[in-house]
Amino acid sequence: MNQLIKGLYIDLFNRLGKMTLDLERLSMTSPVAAGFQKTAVLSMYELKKKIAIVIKSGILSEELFTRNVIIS
Amino acid sequence: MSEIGIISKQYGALVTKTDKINDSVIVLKKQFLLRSNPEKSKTIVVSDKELEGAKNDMLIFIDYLKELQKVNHEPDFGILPGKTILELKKLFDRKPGIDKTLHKIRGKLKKDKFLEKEQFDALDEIVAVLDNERSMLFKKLRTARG
Repeated sequence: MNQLIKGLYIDLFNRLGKMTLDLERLSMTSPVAAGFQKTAVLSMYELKKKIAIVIKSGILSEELFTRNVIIS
Repeated sequence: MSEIGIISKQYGALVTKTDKINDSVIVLKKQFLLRSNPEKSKTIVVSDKELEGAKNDMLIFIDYLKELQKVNHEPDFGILPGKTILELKKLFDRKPGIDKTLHKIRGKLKKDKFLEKEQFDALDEIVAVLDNERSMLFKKLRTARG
């Protein structure tokens, strides 16, 4: 179970990296599109940071935290 | 305030509370794990400041839960939505032992003592109720937005 959760965290971390990169490369010039691009990139960076903290904390390898990491 | 505004406000408050309580449980579990397996300190780290914060947050929350169980008590809906309070009360009715366990946890935290495995099970059950309610509110929010 923990291996699966750890895999999901790492997968999400990698996907977020790719999504952020793709979104940043797009040319979005209209005010609405530019606003969306800025907010979305910022939100994805924040989420990526949160995921990185959980991955580095070491709790994903411990059964004791299984119920808590599903929520985090 | 519109219905969507009310749900959004409730959702925000519940996310904040659930995260805070879940984070406190994680910190207290880290302390438990490091005490029983000191070699885990290579990968698991917990600071005194984190521990102090987790204990304080948990004590405040346990006191809030204890107040909820009093007859004729008017709960603070700013902390948790009414539906979540109802679900927590249902949990206490279903598992009367939880109340006793919370009392023990409170005593241990007050005396700076370590929690035990079965006490974490009770805390996990409470966090699961909060998380379930958070998911329900999120679904409601999505439906309301059409």
